[in-house]
This record gives sequence, structure tokens and C-alpha cells, in this order.
Amino acid sequence: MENLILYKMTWEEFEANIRDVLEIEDGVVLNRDEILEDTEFWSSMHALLVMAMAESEYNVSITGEDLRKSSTLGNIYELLKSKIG
Amino acid sequence: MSFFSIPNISIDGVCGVVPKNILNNKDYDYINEKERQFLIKTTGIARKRHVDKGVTALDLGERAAKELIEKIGWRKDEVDLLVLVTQSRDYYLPSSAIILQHNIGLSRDCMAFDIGLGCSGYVYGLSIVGKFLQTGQFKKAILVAGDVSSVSTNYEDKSTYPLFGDGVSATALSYSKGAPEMFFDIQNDGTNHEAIIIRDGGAKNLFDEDSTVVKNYGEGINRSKKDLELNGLDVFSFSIKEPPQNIKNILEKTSTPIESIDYFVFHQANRLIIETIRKKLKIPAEKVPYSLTDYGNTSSASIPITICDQLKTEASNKKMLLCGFGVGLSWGSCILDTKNILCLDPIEY
Repeated sequence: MENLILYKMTWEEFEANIRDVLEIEDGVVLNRDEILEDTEFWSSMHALLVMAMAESEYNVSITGEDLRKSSTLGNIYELLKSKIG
Repeated sequence: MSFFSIPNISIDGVCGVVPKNILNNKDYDYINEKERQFLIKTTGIARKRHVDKGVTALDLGERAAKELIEKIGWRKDEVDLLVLVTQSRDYYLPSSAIILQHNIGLSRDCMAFDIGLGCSGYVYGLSIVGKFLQTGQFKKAILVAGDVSSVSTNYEDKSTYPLFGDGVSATALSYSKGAPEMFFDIQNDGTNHEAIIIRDGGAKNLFDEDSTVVKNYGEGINRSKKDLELNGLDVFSFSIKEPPQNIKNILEKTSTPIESIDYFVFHQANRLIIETIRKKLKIPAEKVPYSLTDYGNTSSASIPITICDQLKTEASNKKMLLCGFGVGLSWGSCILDTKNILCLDPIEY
């Protein structure tokens, strides 16, 4: 996917990608402000999947420090958008 | 200078030795069933091998070297150099390679020393052995590489225990005038040396009573300071960023089209890392062999074990790119053209 396209990535696109990569069922509501560690679907291994998605799909590198500072999906969305931009 | 070439080297044989004991990750009961399945699916590591207590990398390496020397028909007294890449030495001192030289039955005139590297160690080892051989002053060498990581992983640390397996390889290299050049690009980053570390037992933090005290470092992560510590996020981030760039660099510096490489043999860290690198570089899946499903991450033995377990006769007369990365942090790639390599099936110890 080209960076130009991703620059305009919407929350809806991001959510769809996250659901796909983390294999989150459709019935599970994703709240962008919910603390990830409080959710059923998040673990340290899922964090690696998000890193892999950023690198292979968007050609963007997310560091461990970036993710440690991101406690919600909204944080990761904003992080990804800023890196793409 | 991280890029260099080495002429006149032939890789004559490769052999891997693994313990008989198989530990299936589906039986890893420290985590729940859902987490187990997710771990196996994501890492690709279904099982790995562990040594019996008291068996060391030196023992596995002795078996590997003896088998290989016999099968390729070398005399022991014509081996000029023995290099052992390991981070699980028998003793603080002496160097394990010197004990290994004796145990294999090599000559006292055979130069022998250890290299303390892990997952990047096979590529490093090839480059060091190659440099000794390239002028023809040394004619034959054995590179032994691998670790017994089970002695340093804590069962209650899900970030290390399910991933690492024990295994040691032996590779026979010889001076061969006119053999195609081998190319290397090798890098390090000491600023991140704590990303993969065993804190106690070296000169910095001598082993003491506190070294064995198990503490909690997060959900599912209990370990002591004598155990292997792995910062998953930082290591993963490094692994999917630096090795692909290193590979791009070596391909560019050697004017090698990526499609001309027959096989990319990666250090077997975990499937998610390798697949991310593969997709990033747009490498067809059939060019990337895996051995981690059955053996896990076998440190510096993972590349040669993958060659023996997956490529076998396919390893001969090929252009290969080998890429190791990990503890240090340290990483590097090698491009080589193989001739006739004798690849023995993995041997059980």
C-alpha cells in the first residue's frame, strides 16, 4: 500500500486492519479510548502483530518505546498516522 | 567497514545435532490453551529439543564435528582451524573450543578459539573462518556453532521458554583456489545490549545468592538474573527493521538482483519476524525455508540446521543469502555460491 493512500487512513480503515491482524471477532466492539491491557484481545504478542502490520503493510517502523507509550487503540492509530505522514 | 568479500572458499559439508528430548509447545502448561495456540500460530514453533542435564553445547558440537569429518572423508590431522561460536560455554575459562579440539581428536597444531555470539554468530563465524582460509595458509577448517539455551530459559517466562531449542552445527570449509567470492555485510549496535541479556554470572555481576531469586517482570514472566531476559518489543522492532535493510545493502553493493537468489536462509527467530522480513523484501515463500517448527530458535545453529533439515541436496550449486540477527544487538548477511555441499540429516544426540 502506498504511503500517499495511507496518509488519509481513516479510523474505519485502521479498525478493519486491526480486526483482521488481531483476529478480533465482529461482535467485539473496539473503543479507541479503551486501555488495551484491560481488553480481552490484547497481549504482548498482539503488540508484535501490530508492529509487523505497520512494517509489512505500511512500510512504517514502530519501536518498542512507541508502543509502550501507546495505551489505547486510538494512540496507535494516531501514531501510525503520524509515521505515515 | 561492514562490507567485505572473501575469495577462494569452499563449503564442503554441514551437519546439525539436536537432543532427543522433544518438548511440544502444545503441552506448555504455564500458559492457558488459548494463549498456547496463539503462541504456536504466531511464532510457528510447535516443538523444540532440550538436552539432558549435564549435556552441553560442547558435547553436541563434538558429535557434529566428528560425524561431519568422517562423512566428508577428512583426516583429523589435516584440520588447521576450529572455531566454536557459542554463548553456552562449559566454563568461565578455559575456552570451550580448546576442549572441543581435544575431544574431537584434532591436532595440537589446529588453532582453536571461541566466539561469544548468538543468533548472528553463524554469519560471523563463516566470515572469520573464511578470512583465515582465503590465502591458503590454512587449508581446512571446522566451524562449530550453536547453543544449549535450555539451561538459561525459565519455564515460567513465556517470552523465552517456548521459543528456544538446543542445537549445535558443524560446517566444513576449505581453501579452494578460484572459488566464487563470498560477500558479507555485518553490523552491530551496542546501545541495545540489554535487549537480550543474561545479567549475572559474568565479571560485571558475579554470580551470588541474589542471582537465583525469581522475580516477576509482568504477566507470565518470572525469571532470575541467571536466566535469559528478552525484551520482546525492542527485539522484534529491531528484527523487522535492521536485517531487511542489511539485505538490501548487500544486494545493492554486490549488484545482485534479489530474484537471482535461490534461497534466503534466515536465523530462525520466529515465523512472524521472518514472514515480515520476507513480505517487506517481496521474497517468494518457496525461497524461504523454515526449521523452527520442529527445532525452535537454536541460536547460531539455526541457519545450518535449516540448510540440513530443509534443503539437503537442494543446497548444492545454489546462490544463497544467509541472514543472522539477534543478541548484541548484532546482525549480518552473507551471499555465497555453493558447489557440492554434503548436508547430513539432523542427528539426534
